[in-house]
Amino acid sequence: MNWIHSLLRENKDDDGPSEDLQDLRDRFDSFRELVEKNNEVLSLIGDMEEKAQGEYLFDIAYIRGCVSRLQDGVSTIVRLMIEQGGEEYETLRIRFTSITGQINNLLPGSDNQQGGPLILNFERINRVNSQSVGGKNAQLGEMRSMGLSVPEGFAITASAFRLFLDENQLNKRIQDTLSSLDIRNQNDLVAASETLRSLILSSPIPQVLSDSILAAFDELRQRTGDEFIALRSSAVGEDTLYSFAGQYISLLNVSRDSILDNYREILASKYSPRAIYYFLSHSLEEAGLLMSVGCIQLVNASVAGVIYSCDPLDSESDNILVNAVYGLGPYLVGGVLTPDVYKMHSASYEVTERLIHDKSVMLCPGDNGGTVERPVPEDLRRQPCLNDTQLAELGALASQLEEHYESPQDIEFAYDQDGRLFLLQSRPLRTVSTQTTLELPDMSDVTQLANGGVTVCPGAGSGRVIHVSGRDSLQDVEHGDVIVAANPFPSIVRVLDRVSAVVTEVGSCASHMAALVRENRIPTLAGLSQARIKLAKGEMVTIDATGRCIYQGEHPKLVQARRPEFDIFQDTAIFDLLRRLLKLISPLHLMNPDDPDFRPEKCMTLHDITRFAHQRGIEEVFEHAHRIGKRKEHGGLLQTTLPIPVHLLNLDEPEKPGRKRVYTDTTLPSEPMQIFWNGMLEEKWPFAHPDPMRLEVARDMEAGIPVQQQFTESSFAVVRKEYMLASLRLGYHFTSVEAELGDDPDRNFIRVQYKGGGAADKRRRRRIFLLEALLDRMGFEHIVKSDFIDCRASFLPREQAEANLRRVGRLVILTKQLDMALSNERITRWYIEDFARKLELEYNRVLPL
Amino acid sequence: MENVHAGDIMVPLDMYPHIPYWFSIRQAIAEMESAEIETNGRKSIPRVVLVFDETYRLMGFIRRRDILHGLLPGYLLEDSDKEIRKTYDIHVDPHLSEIFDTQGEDMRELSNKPISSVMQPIVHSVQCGDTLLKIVQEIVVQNVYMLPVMENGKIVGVIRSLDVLHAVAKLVL
Repeated sequence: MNWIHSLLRENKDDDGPSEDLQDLRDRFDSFRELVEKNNEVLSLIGDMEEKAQGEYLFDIAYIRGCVSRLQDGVSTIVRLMIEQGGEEYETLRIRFTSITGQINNLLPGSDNQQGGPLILNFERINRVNSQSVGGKNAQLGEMRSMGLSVPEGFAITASAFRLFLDENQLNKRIQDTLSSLDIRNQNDLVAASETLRSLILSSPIPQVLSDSILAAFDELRQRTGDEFIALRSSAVGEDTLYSFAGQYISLLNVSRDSILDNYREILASKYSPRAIYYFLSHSLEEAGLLMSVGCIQLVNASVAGVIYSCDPLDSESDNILVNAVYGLGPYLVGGVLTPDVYKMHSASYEVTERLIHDKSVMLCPGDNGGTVERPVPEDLRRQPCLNDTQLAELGALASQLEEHYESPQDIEFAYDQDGRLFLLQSRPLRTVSTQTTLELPDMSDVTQLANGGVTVCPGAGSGRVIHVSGRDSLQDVEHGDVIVAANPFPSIVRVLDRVSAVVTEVGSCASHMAALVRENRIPTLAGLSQARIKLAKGEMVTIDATGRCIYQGEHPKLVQARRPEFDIFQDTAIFDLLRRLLKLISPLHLMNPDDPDFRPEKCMTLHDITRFAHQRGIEEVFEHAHRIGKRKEHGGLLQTTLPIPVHLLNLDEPEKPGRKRVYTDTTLPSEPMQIFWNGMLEEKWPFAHPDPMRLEVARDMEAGIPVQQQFTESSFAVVRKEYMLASLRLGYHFTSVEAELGDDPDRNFIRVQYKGGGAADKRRRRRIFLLEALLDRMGFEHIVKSDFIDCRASFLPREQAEANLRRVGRLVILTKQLDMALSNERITRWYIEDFARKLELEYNRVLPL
Repeated sequence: MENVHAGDIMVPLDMYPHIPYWFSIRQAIAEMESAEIETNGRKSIPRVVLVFDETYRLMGFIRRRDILHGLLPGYLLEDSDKEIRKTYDIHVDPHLSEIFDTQGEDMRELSNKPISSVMQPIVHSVQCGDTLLKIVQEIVVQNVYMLPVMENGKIVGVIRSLDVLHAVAKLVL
């Protein structure tokens, strides 16, 4: 920015301060800051999306950290825009406030910080509330809202627990106990657990809370007529990756007199040695693990059980499993009795298998609270406890819940004494049990075709090899194929529903495709050099992505044995939270800057806001660069053999006012700009001037084609040594290229926007289609909207960035007014192939890295 | 019967293949090879590609024969202006053609020439409102098989002898 500063000084000496130049300096400073923030925000969003795909561990502290950095970044961007553009961008701030408000509402603890309700009735709860009422209560509320039969009840929220801790000043004491704890020492753990539990048990429940609980109990009793209820723990963060299943307790048949003590007992159960170990070893925030308690109408069960909406050990089979016992459920889930097991078909609910066991005893509510064990009448002991009608009813429920939650479910149910069905819980079913991890088959005798590479998505898959390279080649991919590609390219996502494995010669875990294959759980190996030579077309192979090895032939046992690795991180609440947050963060709704909807009011996500700001920021820079370019005495000029006048502003070098600095084709002060320019020079400017003698008559036959808006009068570039931002107008199209090129692949990126043209709409779209196809082969991610394409490639090693930047330069010349010639699809395809050959992007060609 | 006008039977400009003048003969070939014009459900292959300048003004057109002309090696061409005879005359000795360029390398090289070197200027045109009779007369008298159709000083389409024939067929058959 020095040149602007010196320019300002110079000007001051001469004519006094110039408002225009002062304004310019501010704008450039702002813009650089905006670009930096924008990149920061984009990389954060990318990282969160990556995490949401389930490959990496993260915790609530990570989410909080990201959200807070995102909010800082975007709020800075909004501030910069308002500083620059004034009131016009005030709406941006309103949108920002609204979106961040929604985001904060999703984050755990937000209810409590804002003093959320202490009690929530089930009818006011759905699964969105899991951060204030815990997973279990939230699901009960959700099922209730689906119209299913669940017991009446209410939740004592996480806010209530927070109040309990605050009023008794327990936070600091808990923190002190935990911070001095060596979690590897079992005795210390037990001692700490005892300390914390007695702390909780000896602390009084705040008056306002106990009043609320008792009032809610009385209201519930009035509705149901029941004197006793069940209390169940429903921890916030329960059913997450760090699951404490079975660590917290449920208390059945609780009376009004004992409800407060029992509530406190459940709170204390949070501090068992194992639970403490878990959340400390996973660096979970204490605050993120609040406890809510469900106070639920007790179902006096005649039969209770569990439904698995699919077989957890064989999730491919079409089976629903039901386990059931007489009496209350704890005897089943606690493993006291061997339950009856029913297996039925998931479509017809026809029972295919019954294992009826001797059920000698059952758990029943005691007359004065608590539970008692009673013998099962002799004639019922060896009878099935469920009949076919009931099983069909349960099967249908399982299907409904699985569909609703879009994942296999583990459902607790009970039939009361009158034969009415109640659902007590539904949670994601973990389809892999640790006891049943299959042994890997011995592969030592099998021919290895290749090994090495990077595991992008673990697992194994087998099938026929098919070589692909770009969108057009994907149409030959059939169900079960193994696709082998030179490089990852975004269109691969279109066939991920049918392939069994993916292998690429280049690429890494950080590619965009990597996120996609993980989302689709496709075993994928990247960076396996010469894969297309080692794996012949049509050959049957098995890709062991986990073991980074490729075998000849199909090996179903290996594939099966690797399967458990798919399911490790699925369907946990913390992922659910991240995904729900991402919905407010990452989808892009604002694409084409010429779209009438490209307005601050239409920003639905943080990404929209940054997209809008970046676009407008670029426009502001060009507008002012244009102004400075027109002054004869300022800025720089690129004197080039191409007939494109380019005003060039070098931000690295102090400006010598008084005359324009002149650059030539070979002395550009920016590496990326030089490489891009070399690409343009390589294609040369077409100098074929028509023979005036032969064509004199034709002069005024203008085509009746609406000429598109002209974007800038001339071309501009703002550069630094490792950065370029160029806006070029060639004919009727507008190209803007922004790139960072250095030794750090994480910082390198190329962004290309291309729009417009002078030909009819269809032909302009065909040119965009052509660009899309070629940029796709170069590994760019792209957004296309009518005659506009916006694409970006990031995380590029220097060599790859250079090669692609040069190609982009060549493409800019190659496609100049090409839209005119694209009269049909066939010629468009011909040009794609022709340019692909020129740019060395053909199918079956190993891209130089 | 109502009068038929040029605008009714022309091929609209955006359906017709066109190309900027600095493109190569090779690109013109690709254009012609891939083009297919559908009018009233009937497909036909265009005999010319229109040539425009960078401001989208019509400069001329290029016919199949012009393309072929551009691909003919110089030693087989006669320069009538300078009254220079061809260096080799295949009419005189047909075997000559067999010893030259059997692999098409010369042609490939020549195909990179810009089309401006072989294109034809547009001399005649009709107006959008011109009647069938006027169009027929223009085609016959000027001995052309394609006419640009102008409206308000801008080209909006093209009429081929084929389109005229279709229109005439409706009258006489």
